[in-house]
Amino acid sequence: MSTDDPMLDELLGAYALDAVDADEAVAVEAYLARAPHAADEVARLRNAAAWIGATEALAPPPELHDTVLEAARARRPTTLGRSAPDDPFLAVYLTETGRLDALIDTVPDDALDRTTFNGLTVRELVIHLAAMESSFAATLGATTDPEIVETAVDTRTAAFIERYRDRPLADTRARWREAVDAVRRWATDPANADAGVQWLALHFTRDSLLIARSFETWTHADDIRRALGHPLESPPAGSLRLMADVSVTAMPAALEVAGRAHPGKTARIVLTGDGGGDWLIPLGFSETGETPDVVLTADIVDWCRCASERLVPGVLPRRVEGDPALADDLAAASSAFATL
Amino acid sequence: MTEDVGRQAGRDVRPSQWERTTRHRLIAGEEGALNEIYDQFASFVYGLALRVIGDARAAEDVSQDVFVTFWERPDAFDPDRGSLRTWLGTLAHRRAVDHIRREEARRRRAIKDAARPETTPDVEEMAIALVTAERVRSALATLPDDQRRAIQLAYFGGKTYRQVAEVLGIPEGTAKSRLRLGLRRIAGVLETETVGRSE
Repeated sequence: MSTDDPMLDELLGAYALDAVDADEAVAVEAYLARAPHAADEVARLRNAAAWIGATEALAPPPELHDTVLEAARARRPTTLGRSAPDDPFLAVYLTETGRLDALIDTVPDDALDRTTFNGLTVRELVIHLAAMESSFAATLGATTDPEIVETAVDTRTAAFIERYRDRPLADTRARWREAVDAVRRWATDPANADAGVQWLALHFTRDSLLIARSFETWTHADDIRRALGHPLESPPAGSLRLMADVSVTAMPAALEVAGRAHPGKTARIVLTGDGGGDWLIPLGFSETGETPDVVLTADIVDWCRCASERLVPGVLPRRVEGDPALADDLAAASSAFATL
Repeated sequence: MTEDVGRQAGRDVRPSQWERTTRHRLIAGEEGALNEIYDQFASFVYGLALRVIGDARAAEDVSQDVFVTFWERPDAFDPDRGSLRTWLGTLAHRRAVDHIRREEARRRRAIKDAARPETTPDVEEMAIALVTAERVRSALATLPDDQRRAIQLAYFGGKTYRQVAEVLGIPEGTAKSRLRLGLRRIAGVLETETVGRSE
């Protein structure tokens, strides 16, 4: 079937110059959506029009700069560059989601069906991220796909895949961005600074949830890099530190969930490399002892990859002082809360 | 020297890493990114709005509207579908035309090109923009008179092709094709000189 319409083709120049009536504009826009050659021509003519406009460039009055910034701040709060230094948790979230967004730009169409680490294709993995982010956003009151009521990771992912598999990746990404944006709005509202959130049957603080989402976003970004044959990338040191902190301080609960708790025992975990640190934690729901029964030293990136199940606990490179069986349990339980 | 700058505009072929990054920074709410975009494009947006509307106050309002709209919905700009300049220019022009069509009755006043202190955005980008604008200016000058006149009436005059036809005393179909042919010719110049991304 031919989509060409010579009458509408003739209007494209006038349309690119905003020189058509409103009803003609509507007709042209509908045409552009179904006739790629016309959309290409309009893009080309608009570019020409913009450069014609550029021949008239003239510096505005200097005070317009401040007027614009004030109006912008009033419409949407600025984060990075203003409040972000005071809010490292949101900054990490925006950094990691921003890095993933930029990565998606680089995925060639013919790589979308490659299999990633957890068995999903690249396309399905992006859909999974949209499913999880929108689940998080829905918990905060911003529902994006009201027809999808599944909340468990597997069933929700399956429902999203069913829905988005045959649509352009841009649709999935748009949904994911909406959810990220909803999270950002929620997180920038001072009223939520101390909020607790119940999500996936776990209780999170606002800060720990932002870090958990950042952690998963980084993990899946690396899954995509691996599938594309790109080198893996680590988050900046400040982000790593917060991710490691969330994962280490969750260890007592993780050990209990994994059935590897040793109540009354204490571990010292030393993570090395940029963003590293030193923690003393009980090996279950008990008090922290004064001297550790085991000291586990590992690279911070390795530890995070182990906690996200991208590194098998048995091969986590580590140095152990004290009871090695306790160190094995720590490594094995580190991923107790990993989802996919 | 002109040639060198023109060739650097070849970044337009592998477009806009800066545009992508800046867009992400805007999505993240980074004020610094908005500052950069303002510095880069304020003269373009304001100058265009002023040329169309002919009123400084209204041109400032349109400029503000354009930048705040972009700030609010940075994801509406898709770097894969065109340059940021085109996107902002399209938006600015549309708002400016909306303005004068609303104020149909008002006569436009002539505006003197007041010499105002220029801000100093990214020098390389500005140099490319200046050189490209110069090329477009001379390309416009070599267009057949009837095409140039039609484009100026429509684009800077904010007239519809019907009004253009009326002013020039030509059939509407002729007005439509002059606009299209003239624009195509400018687009062709931009492409052969590898300046200014077209898609």
